[in-house]
Amino acid sequence: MRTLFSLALGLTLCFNISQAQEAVVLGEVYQSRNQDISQLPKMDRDIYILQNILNDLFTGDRGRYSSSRRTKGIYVPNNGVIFNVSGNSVFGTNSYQSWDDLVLVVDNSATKLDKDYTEEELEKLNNEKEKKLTELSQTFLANYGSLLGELKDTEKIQISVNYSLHVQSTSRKIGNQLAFISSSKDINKRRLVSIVSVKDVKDFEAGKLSYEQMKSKIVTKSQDESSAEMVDAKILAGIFDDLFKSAYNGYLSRSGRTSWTYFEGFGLMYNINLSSRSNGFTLSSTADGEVVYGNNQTVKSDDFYAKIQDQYAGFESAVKENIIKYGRTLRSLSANEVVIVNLSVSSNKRSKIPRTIQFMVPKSSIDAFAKGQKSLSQVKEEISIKKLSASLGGNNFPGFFEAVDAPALTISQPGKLSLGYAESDKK
Amino acid sequence: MKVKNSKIWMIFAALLLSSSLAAQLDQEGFSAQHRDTEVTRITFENYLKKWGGEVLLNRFRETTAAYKSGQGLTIEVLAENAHIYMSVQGGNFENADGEIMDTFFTEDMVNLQKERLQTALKKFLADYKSYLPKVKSSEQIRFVFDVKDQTKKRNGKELPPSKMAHKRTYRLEATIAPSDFEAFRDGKMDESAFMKKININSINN
Repeated sequence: MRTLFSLALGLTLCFNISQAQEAVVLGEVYQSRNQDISQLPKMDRDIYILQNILNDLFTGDRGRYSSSRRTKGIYVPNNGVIFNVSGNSVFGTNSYQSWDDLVLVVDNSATKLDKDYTEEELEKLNNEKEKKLTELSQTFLANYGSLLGELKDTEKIQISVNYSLHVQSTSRKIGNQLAFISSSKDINKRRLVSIVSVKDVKDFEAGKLSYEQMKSKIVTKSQDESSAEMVDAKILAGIFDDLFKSAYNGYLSRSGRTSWTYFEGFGLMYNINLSSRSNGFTLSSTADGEVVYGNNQTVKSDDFYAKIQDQYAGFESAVKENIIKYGRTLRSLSANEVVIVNLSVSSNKRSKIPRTIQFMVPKSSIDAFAKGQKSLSQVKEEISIKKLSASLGGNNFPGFFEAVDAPALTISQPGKLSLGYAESDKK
Repeated sequence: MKVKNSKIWMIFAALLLSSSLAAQLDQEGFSAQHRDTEVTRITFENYLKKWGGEVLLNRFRETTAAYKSGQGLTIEVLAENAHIYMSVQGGNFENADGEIMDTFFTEDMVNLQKERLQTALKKFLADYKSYLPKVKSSEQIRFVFDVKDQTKKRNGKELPPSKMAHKRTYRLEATIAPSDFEAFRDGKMDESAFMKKININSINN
């Protein structure tokens, strides 16, 4: 039987089975979707499971690969859990529209747009959308919040749904049909935030609150993201843009701009994408074995990746220092909130750089450093780091993490490029 | 103007699900069993889709979950037989035509398919035992894989199944006694002993 199986594989038959086993090798970039969460701490497992629940609830994502990258949850100690539902995923996506688009397809004979939405109709559509997203958020918090059994009564659960308002429709041909698409890309971006205390969730679970009472305990508000003003947060994003333009001694560089989101009562989260691809490092097989090309040099791959691995600890240390030093500029954050920096890294698996690295530091620790009450090294110790072995893609909001086989904590010699090494690691 | 886009129906389906859940919460208040049943359904489906163990020879399409008083919990997965991709001179050729499927899915292959479905299910039960809903001792926990070829259509008409399609069309049912499951979940029965207690039947359709 096994022989037959092997033979079948040998004949280059492969299976279009579940996408679970998909592994993509694109030059320097290796990504895998495999995740084994069985060994995760209970909190992370609960969050991971609830991410899938949110995907199902908000996207109706039945029968498709349900990527946990669409909805992400994160635990912030002493504050609670935040879930962020990505605007580009709810109700699915396809090539011509985002989930926010309302598409009406008319008869095949139609050739032009003959109806625009009136302002009143658009307002009604937008109100309906917000009402339904609110209902979904309330349902989730009431029915599933109790799964987070390790949260303390004083903590909270927040769900944040990114969406945009409908604007005037446009028409587009889809196949042989004409579609009216009411959409909004960069304007009218909004975020619906619903928050509830863990105590209320537990009271509802225990039957002390009716569903109506529970709903009244959930605070929901819609925020206009396009007008969000946090100048200090924007400035820090710009600083990160500069710092990560080239990192890891030139092995990684930033792709895209640094994005940030403020979660009231929880803190500020930055997302930065780093890639080895844009620097032109490529792994190739030659007659003499595998080599890496880059920086006008050819290096044996074993030597190259051994060096990359050696440099990891220095990189991590440098990132910590920069978060602390530049985090001092954040004046709008409360002391009980946190600064989170998520690095999504695209690089060859052999570099052993985690696909996602999350740094989390209480603002109070940064303040203590600013006031001279704590040293840099003390605050560095207070930064928690989690690493994820799988990439989360571009729209990152890392949620659950697992320990990965990160390089050993050895410090190599300082390099010439920024963010390769921390100041305190230089000798 | 008529609404035809499938996305609209997905939105309606999602909202309907939300509305029915909201209605249930309105009428009955919180139900741990309802919550855990949904959690199990969604988690099991995702678990199969993201399975990283030995290759499963199925595509997982849809999972349903139902609890009926007196009967227990049933989780049913539509597990279509894997398509076959073939690398040929002209490029990649995808066509799960009957002849290729009949050649590939021999009795040995179907047995391997069943074996791996069982492996995945058992690992799920071990990994997520604390998330399954509680059922009464007189009831049962059932996991069902509904295995069949994907229905193919040409020019809007459903194509007939291949000659040997019936050989790979079956329901694989795993039945678990709540008492065994609780003993396993609570650490009173070890994993190996519990797995032997699972009653597995393959029923040809």
